Amino acid sequence: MKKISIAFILSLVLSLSLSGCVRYVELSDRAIVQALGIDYIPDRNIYRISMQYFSQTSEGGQNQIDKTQPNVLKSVGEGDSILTAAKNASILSGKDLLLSENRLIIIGSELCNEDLSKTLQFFISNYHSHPKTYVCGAENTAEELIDIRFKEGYVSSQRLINLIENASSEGHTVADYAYQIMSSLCNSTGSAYLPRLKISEQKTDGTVPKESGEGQKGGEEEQEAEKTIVLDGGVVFSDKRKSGVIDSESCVGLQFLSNRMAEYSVTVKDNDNRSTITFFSVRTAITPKFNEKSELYFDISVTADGRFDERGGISETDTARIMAVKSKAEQEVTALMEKAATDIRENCRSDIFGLEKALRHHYPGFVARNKDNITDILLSAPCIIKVKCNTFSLGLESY
Amino acid sequence: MKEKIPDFSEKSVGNILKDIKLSASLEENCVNIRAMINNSTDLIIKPAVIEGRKIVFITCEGMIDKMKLADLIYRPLTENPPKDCHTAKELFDKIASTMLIAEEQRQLYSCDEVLQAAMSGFAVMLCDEVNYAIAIGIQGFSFRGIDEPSTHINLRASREGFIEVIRINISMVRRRMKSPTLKTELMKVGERSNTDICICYLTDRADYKTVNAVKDKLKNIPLNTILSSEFLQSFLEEDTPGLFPQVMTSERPDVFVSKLYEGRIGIIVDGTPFALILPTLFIENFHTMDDYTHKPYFSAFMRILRFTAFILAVILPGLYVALCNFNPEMLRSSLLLNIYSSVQTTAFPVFGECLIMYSLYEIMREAGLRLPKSVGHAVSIVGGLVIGEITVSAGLMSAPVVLIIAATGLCSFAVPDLYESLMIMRLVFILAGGIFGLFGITVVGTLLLFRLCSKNAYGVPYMAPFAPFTLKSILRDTFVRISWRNLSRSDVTLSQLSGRAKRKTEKEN
Amino acid sequence: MNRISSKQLTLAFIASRLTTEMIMIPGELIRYGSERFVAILVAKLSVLLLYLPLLLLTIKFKGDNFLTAAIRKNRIYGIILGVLFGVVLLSVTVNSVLNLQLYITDTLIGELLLISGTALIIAVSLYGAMKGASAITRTAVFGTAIFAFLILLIFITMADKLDFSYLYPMYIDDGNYLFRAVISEISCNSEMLVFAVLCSNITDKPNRAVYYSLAVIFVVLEVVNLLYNLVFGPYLNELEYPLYVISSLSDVVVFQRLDGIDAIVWLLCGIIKISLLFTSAGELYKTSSGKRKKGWFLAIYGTLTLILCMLIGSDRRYYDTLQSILHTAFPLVFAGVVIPLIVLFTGKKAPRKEKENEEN
Repeated sequence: MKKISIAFILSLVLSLSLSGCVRYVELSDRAIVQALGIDYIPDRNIYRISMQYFSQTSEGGQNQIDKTQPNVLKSVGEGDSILTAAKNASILSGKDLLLSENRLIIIGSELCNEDLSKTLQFFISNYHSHPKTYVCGAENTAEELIDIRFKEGYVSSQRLINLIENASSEGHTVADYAYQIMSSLCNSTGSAYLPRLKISEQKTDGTVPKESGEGQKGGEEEQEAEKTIVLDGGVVFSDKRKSGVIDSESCVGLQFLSNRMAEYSVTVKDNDNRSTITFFSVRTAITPKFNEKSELYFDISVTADGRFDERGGISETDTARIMAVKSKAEQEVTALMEKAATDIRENCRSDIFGLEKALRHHYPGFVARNKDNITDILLSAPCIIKVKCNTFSLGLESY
Repeated sequence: MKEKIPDFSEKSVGNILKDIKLSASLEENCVNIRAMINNSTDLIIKPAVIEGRKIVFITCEGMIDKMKLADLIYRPLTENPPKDCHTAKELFDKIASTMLIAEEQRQLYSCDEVLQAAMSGFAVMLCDEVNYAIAIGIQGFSFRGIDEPSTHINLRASREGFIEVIRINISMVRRRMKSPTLKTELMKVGERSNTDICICYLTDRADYKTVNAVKDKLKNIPLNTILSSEFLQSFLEEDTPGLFPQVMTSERPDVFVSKLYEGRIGIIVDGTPFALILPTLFIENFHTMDDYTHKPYFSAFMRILRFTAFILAVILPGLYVALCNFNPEMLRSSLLLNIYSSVQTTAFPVFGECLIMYSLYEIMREAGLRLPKSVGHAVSIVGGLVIGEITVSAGLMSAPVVLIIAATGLCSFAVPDLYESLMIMRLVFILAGGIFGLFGITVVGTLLLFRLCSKNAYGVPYMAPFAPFTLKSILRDTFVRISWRNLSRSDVTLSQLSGRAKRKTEKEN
Repeated sequence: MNRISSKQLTLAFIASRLTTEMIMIPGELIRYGSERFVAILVAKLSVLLLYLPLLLLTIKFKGDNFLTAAIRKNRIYGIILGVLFGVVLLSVTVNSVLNLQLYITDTLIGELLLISGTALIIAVSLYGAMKGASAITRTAVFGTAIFAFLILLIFITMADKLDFSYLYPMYIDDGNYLFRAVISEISCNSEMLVFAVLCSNITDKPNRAVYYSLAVIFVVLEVVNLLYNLVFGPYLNELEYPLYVISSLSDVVVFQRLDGIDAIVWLLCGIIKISLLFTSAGELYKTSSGKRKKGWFLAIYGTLTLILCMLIGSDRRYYDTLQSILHTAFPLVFAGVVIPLIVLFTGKKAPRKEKENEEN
């Protein structure tokens, strides 16, 4: 019996193996997508995918990647759906698309008006793609951003990813992965936020390292070389569709509101002196409360530790001036947050800093009872913002 | 009588030889013995006369110490022979009972015993009118001196290794274990070679059922010739054909003794420096004697490193093929891009590259292994330069594949006891990974686990103490070794491992 | 060698059950919110209640399984019960194989033929079954250990991505979901069938396997559910294999993502589960036929499973029908509760002499 069982298993495995029942794609026949842009063309009612895929420029014929080159090629596909557009792009490039290395999805401005969750779900539900992909909005079309190539790092898209990550760590924008955006979109208000990218043609002077890319199209090389991509505020979504655009200041306020601010520096003018306080260890707590009339309001309190990075002539013992500077800095942050809250809630009708989450956390029954008009309740409830910065946590002598 | 002269074309010779008893006629005995050995030139029959009686000394060329023969036998017998002996039997009895000739002395009654004794280094004395012989142990054959073992080299442990002579090996064991409970039992196996083997165990720690089972198996080994301990291995393993060894071999007496202390049974085979130890556990393949001489944390680190090397040696090439062909997303970005760049220009698909490179590596290893050292260097140069460098630069192979095969080759040397198993498993994993990707690797891995977990060597689960799970034993001396201070607090023998007791109950039931 | 300890069976149940929980639960039942925590608790308590007839049976018949007790009463009667039980066992096996195959094609190999996947899974599981319950349960030790290590690794790598604001107090706003989740949890408990057969192979107290495994699985599921909630929040409702996605987010030094390793572990545990089901079928045959060897039977049973997998798996409608039948929990309750309950009242105890002989 033992022999029969072994023979049975062996014959089965061999017969299956020899029949070539599994199809696979050789690594060299794949196109490793690095960044992709998706546009919707309303006139023709089609989707257009443009992607940068890896194509190495060898260094000295040793199969080593030349890091001074963009190392990418572009492929474009159009179709009635994102899937068909992707397939057409695959046909055009002559390779099988590998989405696992894609770290950036740029959503064209027209596509932002469509249901964002459907677009993102297409990529996340593909088990070979990576849910840790940054998603950005484009000022115009995504393709024009994909066209610009940089010569830093292994591949061109690395420059854009660094841009988003640095901006996020400096407190200028919220950088969320695709799955985090999906989490936001799946709450009852369907709210989300994407950082917005745009092409800038500003000339850089000699003191700043050039962040310029090389134009895709031909033409005047000098002029093309000055094209670069910059962050320009953000796109706000409500009910899974674009509901407005916020500027860079509101983006900073949003960082504070959504408890994601790592570090932020505020410069305060005190007569002729300039003092810079850096807010760190920022903690934001949103607490839903009911007033005497049983009306809902949100108490948003920000606490942070402060550090005088530039003292501006204030001595350590001059407590009165320190408190005055600190108070101004707090007011400035409060103003930023209030502006963001107004822009997002009133202009964009969106809840991207987690009012619903806070309400559900404290009053799940209230949310369940009012689930049909929860968006209206959230957006009409006033927000009371308080900012408190402890500048003595490290002591002034630290700097 | 002549009709009984054995036919050496027969496979079995033992039974026929045993039938020929020694007779009272010296001449007849000599004729029979000569006939039995086909007048072989290495058998020396030396006639002499003592006190008027005809006697002969039968020895085997090269097996005895000639000085001992002269000093201990010839001189006393010729200078001071036993006096007042009326019959030949009386003379012979006096020699056997009163003269102190050698430590080892015994009486023989058949021709085959005479031959066996002569071939084992005894001087056999036959006398006319006496129907038995006296064998006197004056072994003096030349042998290799005690040396450092060629395998299982250690840094701090003993430098002594077993040699080819069974008696010296036994003495080495006894020197390390002066306990009265250490029992050594000599046996002969192999119908034609009559190889001496010695079963060693501690009577108070070894399971007597296992000892009996081992003895039964040894008695029933149908081999004619046993030239190495590995000849016995497959007969002692319960599960054949097995990919993993269930019987451990060791060249080191210190390892041998330490295993006996854990309740195992050791077998020393004459003519080979490799002793057998059984039953063995899978985890023991990752242990060395040095682990017990180093600090526990270092030993733990080394053992984990060896196990990691084992896992890498088994699955790395298969995993590489599977990841490249089916799941490239698992590779780190920069690694993937580098691999992608290198496979762009190669002539073969990754699967093919891996198979070719693996075959080339094994061929190179095999070629270098048995060649003289001077030629072996040439093989290394050819292998290192031509295969490694030129194939990559010519674009025939990609650099990662060369690196992976070289790395796995290196890893497999970290666990030398499992090299053969590793070689086969690696190939199977490459095939599985190439055909079915990670699915294939999992399927093969699961099959392997089922197989390993189903093994029981003499009632001891092969994967113990992990499966069945015994936390106390795992923490004692597996991947981590507790300090000697803690080890000394409690003894653990094989019979205390989980699963063992159950097996006994089951058998009893 | 088929004698095992209750601890070994516990580990096998944990490995087997975790696969079920991670793969075979329908996506919509893994939901964001506190309901899921309550659903797991209620389901485990319900399952413990459902185990009651089996536990009583093992106590009453001193470790004998239901079939032995039934056959002792009347051979034909026993065989009828055995066949009914076997049909449920077969359908659960087919369902498990198809689920695993579907999972593989979803995650590891997109273009794996139905016959290749199912045939390989069945072949390996049969090999395990032929090696015996002991080999399977020992293998389960490794499956469980790797799974535990993986979960730990995921927790460590995801520590910075846990969002505790996604947690909100216990509040059940959808009783219908709770009911469906509990029924689904119960319907997946095929270990009950395995326990019903293999309880006679346990050397010590068989009941321990049930208590320990349920307790451990309960804790693990609650912890994993917590992880889901903290990482995905409301997006959890949209995911089919949340742990797979979490694994793909985990970044360790060597691998950029752990989903492939996750799939390997699940597959290993899935094969252990199917092997246990095959072993149970083999034991059923051995008990009812009185023969010692089960090799031929397993080969035929495996081929039958393969044929059924090919038939049902070839058309999504058949597969969905099988799923919907099994998810009602009726077949499982029938085989795991009703049949043991019948035998509990009608079965015959072993004569004292027979028992003594067995013990000696």
